Amino acid sequence: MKTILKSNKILFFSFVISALSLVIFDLETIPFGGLTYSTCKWDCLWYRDIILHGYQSDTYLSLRHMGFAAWPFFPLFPGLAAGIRYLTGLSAEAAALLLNQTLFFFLVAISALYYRKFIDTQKYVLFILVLCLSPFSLWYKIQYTECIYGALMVCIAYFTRDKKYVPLFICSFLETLTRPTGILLVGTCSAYLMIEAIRTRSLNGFLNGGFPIMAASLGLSVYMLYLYYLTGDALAFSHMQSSWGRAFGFPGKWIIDAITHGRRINGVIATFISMFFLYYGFKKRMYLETSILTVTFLFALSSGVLSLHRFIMGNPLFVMIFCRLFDNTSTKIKNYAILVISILGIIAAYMWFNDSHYLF
Amino acid sequence: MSNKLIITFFIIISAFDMFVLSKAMHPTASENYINYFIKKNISTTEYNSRELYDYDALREANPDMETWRFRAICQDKGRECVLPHPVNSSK
Repeated sequence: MKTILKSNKILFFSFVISALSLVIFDLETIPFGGLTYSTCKWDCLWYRDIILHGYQSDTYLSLRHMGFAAWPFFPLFPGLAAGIRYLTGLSAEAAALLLNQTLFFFLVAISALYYRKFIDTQKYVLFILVLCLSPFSLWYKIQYTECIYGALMVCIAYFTRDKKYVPLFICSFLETLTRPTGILLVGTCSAYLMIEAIRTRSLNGFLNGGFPIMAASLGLSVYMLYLYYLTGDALAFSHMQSSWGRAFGFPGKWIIDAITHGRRINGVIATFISMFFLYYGFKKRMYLETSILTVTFLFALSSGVLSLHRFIMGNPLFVMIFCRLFDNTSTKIKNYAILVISILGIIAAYMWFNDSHYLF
Repeated sequence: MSNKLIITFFIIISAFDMFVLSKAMHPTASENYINYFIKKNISTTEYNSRELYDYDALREANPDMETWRFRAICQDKGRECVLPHPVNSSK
């Protein structure tokens, strides 16, 4: 037993810390009306709607949601949650939460393995602690797609670096069924593989590198075809974004717009913090991870600063770059940092349960 | 994977993507939807009033209409979610 534990130390440690962070998070919900009720806010209500009723062919006609529909919410997460609901008989919110909190263990384990293999062989303990206890982990523990998207993202980056093509194709297909930005992330990994193949003059490597983007386009096309037959508009997921106030524009336009109108300042702050960490990631030579984050950042910022903090900071690759800040710090500073981050994590959770507009 | 297999898959998926793109270029949604979401040549108020047939009369007859939910999206626990769909809406 001891030998098994020793050889799988990283998996055992990630399991224990994930469980501990989930217990703390779940206990925090007690004063706020219980686990499923207090965690399900904002986008969760749309996922709940899809889980219960599937995608509807019309836009909503209630005054509060006039012209809205659930089409921008991609089907993998609500589909799996609906499957769990069918099998277990749980409520829609509970099924989605069970899915995410189960996937959270996998996300932490695969991210820790990635971090140890490709980023830093020694400091994975710090990474696991930050990933589980920091405010960045909030969105993994609620009914949002961050957990499944993040887990697939790390798998894609892992298989890209390891050149394991078949699992890479499968993950690429699933990623584009999770979020529209999945195609950009896979495109970045494909470009990485193809550039490497050109360097080594390998035709097979080049073709294999190009195939993930094809697999990803298949996922997107399947959903687009479904939307076409449902609504008459294959790009309904994109067109519907205007109901949320999102429209394409030059990224800088939205920052200036937010500053001059004095709204979504949290988004502006998140933009500048993200820029710093993107610079820092490239400086630390984390090219693949930072490129994926940069593409996500530019795509998100081209339609507004809304939820930018979630798209960037709720991303395991961001946490990997963040942890590199502690490369040359003493153990004492690291311990204090983990303590402060854990307290901030608890505060962020309380803000979420209190319907804070700063975190959705 | 072998080059032949990759190229075969590549051709099949490309053909499927082209088919979906051709569908995307020719939406068959309602005129009101196309004008508002795709061409963006009508205002939100215009879209809403066309979407909800006889909007003013309905509102006058039902002062509590602002709390209605025609489709099932609940934000309040214990509230009835699915309410009647208005007849003669534009779709």
